[in-house]
Amino acid sequence: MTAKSQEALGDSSPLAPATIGLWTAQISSIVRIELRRSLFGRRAILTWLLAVTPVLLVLSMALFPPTARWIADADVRANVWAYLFETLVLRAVIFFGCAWSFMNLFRGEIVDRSLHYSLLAAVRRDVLVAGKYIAGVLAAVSIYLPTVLLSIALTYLPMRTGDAWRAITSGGGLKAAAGYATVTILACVGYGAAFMAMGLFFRNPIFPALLAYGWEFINFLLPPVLKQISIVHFLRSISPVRVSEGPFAILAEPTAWWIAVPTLLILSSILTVLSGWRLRRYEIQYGVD
Amino acid sequence: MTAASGDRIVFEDVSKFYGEILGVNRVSLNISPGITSLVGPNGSGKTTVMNLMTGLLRASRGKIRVLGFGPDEPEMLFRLVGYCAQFDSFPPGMTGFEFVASYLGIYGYSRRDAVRRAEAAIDRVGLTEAARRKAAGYSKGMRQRIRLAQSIAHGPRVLVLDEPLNGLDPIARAEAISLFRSFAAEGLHLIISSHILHEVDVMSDRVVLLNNGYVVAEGGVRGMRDEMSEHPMQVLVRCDRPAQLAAKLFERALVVEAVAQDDGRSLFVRTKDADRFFASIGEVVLSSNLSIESMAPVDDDLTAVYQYLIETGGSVS
Amino acid sequence: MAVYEHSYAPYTGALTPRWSRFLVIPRHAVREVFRSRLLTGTFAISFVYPLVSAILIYLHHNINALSIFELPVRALLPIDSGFFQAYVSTQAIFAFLITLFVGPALIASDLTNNGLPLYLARPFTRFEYIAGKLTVVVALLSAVTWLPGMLLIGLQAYLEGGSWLVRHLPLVSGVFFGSWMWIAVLSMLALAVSAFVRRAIAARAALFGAMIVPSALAAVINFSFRTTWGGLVSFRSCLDSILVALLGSETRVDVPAGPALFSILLLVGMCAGALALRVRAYEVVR
Repeated sequence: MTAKSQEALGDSSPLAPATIGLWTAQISSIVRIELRRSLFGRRAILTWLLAVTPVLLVLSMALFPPTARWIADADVRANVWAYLFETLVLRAVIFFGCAWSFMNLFRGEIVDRSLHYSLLAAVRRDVLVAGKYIAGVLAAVSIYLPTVLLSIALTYLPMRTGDAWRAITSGGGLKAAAGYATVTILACVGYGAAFMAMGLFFRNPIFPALLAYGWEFINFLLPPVLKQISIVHFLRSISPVRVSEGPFAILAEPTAWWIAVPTLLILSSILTVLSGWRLRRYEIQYGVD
Repeated sequence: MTAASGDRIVFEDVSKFYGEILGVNRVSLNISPGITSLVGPNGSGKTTVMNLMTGLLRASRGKIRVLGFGPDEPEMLFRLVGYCAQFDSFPPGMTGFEFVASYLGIYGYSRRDAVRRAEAAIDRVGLTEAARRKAAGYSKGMRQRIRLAQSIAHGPRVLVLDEPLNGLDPIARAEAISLFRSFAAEGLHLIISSHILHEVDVMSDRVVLLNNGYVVAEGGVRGMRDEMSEHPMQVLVRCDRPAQLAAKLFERALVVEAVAQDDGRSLFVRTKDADRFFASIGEVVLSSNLSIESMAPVDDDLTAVYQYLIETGGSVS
Repeated sequence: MAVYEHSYAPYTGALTPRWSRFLVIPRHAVREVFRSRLLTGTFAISFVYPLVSAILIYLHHNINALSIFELPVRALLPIDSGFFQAYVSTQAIFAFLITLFVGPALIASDLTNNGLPLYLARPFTRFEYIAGKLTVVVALLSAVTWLPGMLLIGLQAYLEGGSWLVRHLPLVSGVFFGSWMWIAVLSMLALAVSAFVRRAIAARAALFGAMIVPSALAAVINFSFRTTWGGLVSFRSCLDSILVALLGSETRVDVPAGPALFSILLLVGMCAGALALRVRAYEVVR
């Protein structure tokens, strides 16, 4: 041991007092660690594989157009993309991708027996939850948002450059892309909060996730009141193009965007606060977990 | 926070139950700076006490204050406390250095401070050369040391170490004990659990003996031994005429048992009143014109205390 | 220093027969998995549908009961290929749930706890290890799929007369092989995922994803390309196609049985390759 090291440890370079400034520094540190794990760690491989699926599908449609109308008719492309977005991107890729990464935020560390390192740091447990949640959302958005935007861009590939540019700028393309981007971000925010809470409240969170999937899946069969107890209903409400839910669907008015967006944000906040409450009471008993 | 509790670790009537299973029951402790060892058999409650102290477990009843802060105040408590837990696991994919530095970031240290402190802590445990290797690939001793570095990197005033000597080779053990002593000399509280009694004996300022979730004894090892009056102290005396010495000691009722050893120059005696024995033996020797080479108690160490209190289910009178 | 006589001698007693040695794994694992009340509950619930099916078969043949309850069960619910197709498809859902419980932890827990070297340092091969682990899933899934299915067919044949069985032999092979296809896919997929994902929880999530994502992808491919061949990427669609072909049912399916079988064999082969790659006695940490 060198004298320098002893000095460095002995000097109690004081931490900032417990204020917003300290919490911000702590959250950004947690975000840095988690982002690295979520974007570049081994667990990210599956997320990236999922994210690339819709891009490859749209690319293959651009290279091998399924019908002549796919090339000529912008409405056909918009409808096919809307169906692809809702069926594959929203209900499978983002749903499952968020389940994978957000449930791992805490449950993964419990299984790895490394959560205690975070709980033994001089940080409020709710700040820890906030940091991990923000990191999860940032990671999910930075993976799925480019997926969505790139896929939308690829739907314009069969068009001539000039036509494509006009369709994007003056044909409502940009507005639609912004709409899909908003839905994507809100999906990450909403599903993320739900899956993080499941990871903290349940020892086996995959089963509640399975129930949640079932509930979201049968949403089209539910009466209007029950439809609103789901995230996908609000996301569908603000989607730029409403996809038909089939002949058996019970129709319901979409929720106005100014209700849907705050509702999703409030729901996510409540779930995050609940997660913080759970973590404050959490005891490290890895053998039991 | 009172001045008295400000530099102490205080347990007030603390109990912890895991459902119907007893973790620890009605533990009251008041620990001052220095090295305090928690000793007891497996399942006696040592780790539970440490986990309660650091908020990894919540007490079913009672109150815990560490230097004036409770386990529900992690933001303040863990600026003062470092805990090297027994879980031999690491976040996946991290090098030893990243492991120490990244958690310092969570405390709120700037990147520069975190790096400086991590390097210093790793240097202090002698792991600088291996710091850039993946922690998952470390040997058991290296893993123990990097976890120790992680627990000291923020410069805590209380260091809680669960079985810190496990997995260390004899030289590393000696170095670790010396490191602990230097921490104690710097005024830190060290709470150490260990099974290796002679090492605990060497390094501890005081010992808390736990058995079945109860504190069986607490204090200095010698003090504890003195209080166990129903267990006669054993002393080995080397002298020129053991038989004559035994007769004189019995005559004065200073011993309850004396056994002459085969070598013909030693006498093994058991006394119920060690103070009176040591005060009177000089007079016995002088009056009988005996020659004593050496005299040493053979059971005033922690092993003997442990055997009396735990293995035989005894208690302090 | 004491020098002790080296008196160590290896075990010279009888070993269990080579062919049955892998059974040591399921013997302990099955006991372990039933400690979970959730699994025990799911396992029990998975017998409700076979029970209801048995009651329906009984009612179908009991004229007195039908007249008492005034139930037109014979007309409403014929005991034919559709009846057994519904049975296999429903039980496949329970089989998936049970696999989700049991499968992911089987190899993942050994990888996490460095248990593989302990197994493979003994006279126990990688093949026996995988066979042992597979047996755990296969035994549980058999108990909820083809075994009750065979009992149902037996009940139907008993009540209808022996000639029914002769006339409906494809039904027997359909339920048996259709269930076994599900068992093979689920168990191999579960073990492969378990071998790649060290955490049981993450392995469960991956298995869950393996079920939903290909189905969604198949639906989107079918919709976008105006085709039905998208079903090839979904093992569920493929297994449905094979089952329909085995039972000789009229139900419309996405892809023909031949390509579906090829797709399933490819998936099982990939899983076997993944297992061969991952189940090793050593691991290098870089």
